[in-house]
Amino acid sequence: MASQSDDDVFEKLKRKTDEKELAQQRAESEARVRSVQAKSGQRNAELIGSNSTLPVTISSIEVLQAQHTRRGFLERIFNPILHKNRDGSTLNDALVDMGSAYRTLQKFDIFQEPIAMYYDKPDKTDPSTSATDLAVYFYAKEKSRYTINTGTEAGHDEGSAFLNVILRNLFGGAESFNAHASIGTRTRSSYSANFETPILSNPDLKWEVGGLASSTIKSFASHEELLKGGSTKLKYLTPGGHRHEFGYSGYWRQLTGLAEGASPSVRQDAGDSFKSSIHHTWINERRDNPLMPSKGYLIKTVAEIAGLGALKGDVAFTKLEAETAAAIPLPAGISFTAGLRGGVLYPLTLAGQQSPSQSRLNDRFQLGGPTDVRGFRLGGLGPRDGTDSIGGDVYAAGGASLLFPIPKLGPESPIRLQAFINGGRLLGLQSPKSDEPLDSQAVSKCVKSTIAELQNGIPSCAAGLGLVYAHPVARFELNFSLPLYIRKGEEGRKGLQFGVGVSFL
Amino acid sequence: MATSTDPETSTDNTSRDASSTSSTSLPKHQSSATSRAKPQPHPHPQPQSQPRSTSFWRIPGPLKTLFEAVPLHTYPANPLPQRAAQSLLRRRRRLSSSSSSSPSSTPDAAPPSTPSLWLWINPAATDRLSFNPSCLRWQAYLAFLQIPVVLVPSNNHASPSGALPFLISNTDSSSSSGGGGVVPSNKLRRWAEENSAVADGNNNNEDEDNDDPTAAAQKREDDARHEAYISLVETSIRRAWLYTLHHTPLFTSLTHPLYITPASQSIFIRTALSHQLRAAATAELLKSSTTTTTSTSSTSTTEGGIIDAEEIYTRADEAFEALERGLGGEEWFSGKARPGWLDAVVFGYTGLVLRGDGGGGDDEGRGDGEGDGWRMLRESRLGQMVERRDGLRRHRERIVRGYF
Repeated sequence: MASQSDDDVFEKLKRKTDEKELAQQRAESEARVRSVQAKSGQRNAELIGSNSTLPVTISSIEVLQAQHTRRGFLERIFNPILHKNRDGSTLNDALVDMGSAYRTLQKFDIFQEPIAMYYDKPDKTDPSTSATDLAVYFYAKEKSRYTINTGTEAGHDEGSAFLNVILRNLFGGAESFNAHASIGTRTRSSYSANFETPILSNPDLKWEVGGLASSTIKSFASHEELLKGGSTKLKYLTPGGHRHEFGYSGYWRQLTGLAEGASPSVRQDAGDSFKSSIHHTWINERRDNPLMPSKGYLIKTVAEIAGLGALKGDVAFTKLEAETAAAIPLPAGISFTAGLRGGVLYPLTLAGQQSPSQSRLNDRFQLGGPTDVRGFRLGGLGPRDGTDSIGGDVYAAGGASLLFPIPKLGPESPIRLQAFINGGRLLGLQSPKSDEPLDSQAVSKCVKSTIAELQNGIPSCAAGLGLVYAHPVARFELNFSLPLYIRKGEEGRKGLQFGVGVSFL
Repeated sequence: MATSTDPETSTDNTSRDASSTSSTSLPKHQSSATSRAKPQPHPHPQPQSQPRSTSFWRIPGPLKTLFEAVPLHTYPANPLPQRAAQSLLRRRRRLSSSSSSSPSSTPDAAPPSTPSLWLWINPAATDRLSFNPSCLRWQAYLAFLQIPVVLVPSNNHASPSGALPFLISNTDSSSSSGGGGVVPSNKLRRWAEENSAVADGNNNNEDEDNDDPTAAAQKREDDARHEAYISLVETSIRRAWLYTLHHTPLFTSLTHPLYITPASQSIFIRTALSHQLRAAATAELLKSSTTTTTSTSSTSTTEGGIIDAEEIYTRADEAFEALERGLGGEEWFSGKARPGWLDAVVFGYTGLVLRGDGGGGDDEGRGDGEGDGWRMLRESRLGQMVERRDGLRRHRERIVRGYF
């Protein structure tokens, strides 16, 4: 772009410039660049608009700079477009197709942003080309093929140090390998490795396989749990934005390292067990910001079947959990959020056994703590033996919060004041005759009566006020809470409670 | 985390885990004390100012009233889930090993305050004998002292010391006091003697002539002799037991069904556990192996050293011979009307070595084909050592008949 100022450039150079002038020049040049971009954009739009029905054939697509990405992998993305557009289509159709291919490339998360896309007329001297041919070029610079993170984390009663290694685009098909190792106070050690790959170059359909070995102190029930095992799953993101995961996992669980005061219930469940299960997760996330929502809703269900038939293993049950949350914006930046969760563990009969197996400590639900029912200790709700929270087979919990922006910071800041009330019940499955193991019919009766029991009396609940900070990675809460109704033995927490997490009630 | 899966050996891992667990849970209790309404020693403001630190921790008056007002209502406790200890203990009552109960007596005979002994035992075993020597000796000893206990099948992970057995002194009160009455095996002897129905437990009953210096000297000599016998059992016989159960075909026919099969249905876990178990036994054998003889045919070499089977069996044979001679013509090693600790320790091994007594119906209900294993054990070299010693064999039979 030439302008009149280009002519006397030497004189300008000779002249001394003051700051003001410089700033003005900078502003001018930025304005010029902006106007050029806007103009070219406008021109493009006009050009495309006036030519949208122009017959074109996409003769070639080239992805430049993607040295480590396999040709076959990219062909799966582009071949359908080439086939579709070979017999000639309109410019508009071609652009729509290229746009979707562009987004596909973005989703793999192996190329640096932004990926550049260019159209060109092929060389006319090439006799194989025709007049309608269009060549497409992507400048897709690959991201670094590995990332290594180390760090320390401090959270609720917990401190840890971690090492995370991500290998990207491992075999040139957007495969990734993620290894994580951490040591800490509560999760004493955790090592995991996962391999994930898109299926048929589809970034919305992925297959993952991984292994895990961890050791976690569960002081609410006086023991340490060692986990070793692996899982594999298919992950699918529907065009409508629903996430589905379907998988199998097998874990060797070892309940060990009991504290001196461990109750007989915990001692009885100490030792080894193998859980072999298939599971399905469905998440429909429609909240504007999951960590600090102001509008939208979430529906999530988790279903797990363990030990049934060919699954074998040492434990047999069906576990169903559902969670829903909603946020409603109110005037003045205030928002109202509410959430409801529930779960049922339904005992099943292991292959080769007569009666349904009773749930174990490490399969039962735990409830309470700063990220679910605030105002209670971790695992503070539900049945307990001595001081141990031994978990329950059925639970329901709900909460409601009002989030107020802080006057001086305003609704744009990620900090809010919150007033909340939340509560829940966690119940063990009861058998009418406590001495006898239940048969399948009795179990179904039991589950029904236990669910009915949830409504007996006011749920254990707490209310309070607090500060919320939504960091991009996690949400932090500092609350002052008072338990209102509790069951004997349940551990409410009067006073301050600090919580870090990604999912709150 | 290597909590000992070896039924014979206890490692310090678990106690370390337990102590570290309790130390991490300590701050929890401290914070609970500070955050809860703490009764204040001086409810009225003191004229003299307190040091800053303590006044900082004081809860201001209005807050204290607020804290005292909540919770508004406390409902009764949530009942325990099915598998919780109480119902389990009730179901296991039929295994009660009180000396008076016969198999036909009512299962619920034991009163709720009966202590429970957690040990290696097959719930289906008809003779109600633990299959582990360290457990069986305690089972026998408690029976000698006429302390009725509820037997609870368990594993090393459940134990405060990392090894079975242990005892929970009062099953009902423990549910409210958080298992406060847990007695690990190293404190079990004292507990047993304190709680025995038999006057003055084991050592010095019938001590009318306690003043007699010769009797006291005799008693000291007896004690020293018993100590020597016990150390013989703990070293020579224990090593032969470990060798026989882990380094002969008995590992698959007996040790596996006893220790590995009940732990999990999973092949993966069973394989891992059986490797761990064998490795622990090998390490234990190598630790106590002192000889450097290399010439025998049946030595098996491992990385760390040499396990000399011949030497192990020879030592065990010598030990049994010494015990046989020590028993002489007496009924009990204790030399009294009732068997004592040494009798229990010896029975821990002889009771099991001769368990496959070919009594026909007795093998039923042991399940999982371990009956075959017991017969093989009796026919093994270790079994034959006891078999051919009449005194020890009859000693075993007396205990089985009289106390089980």
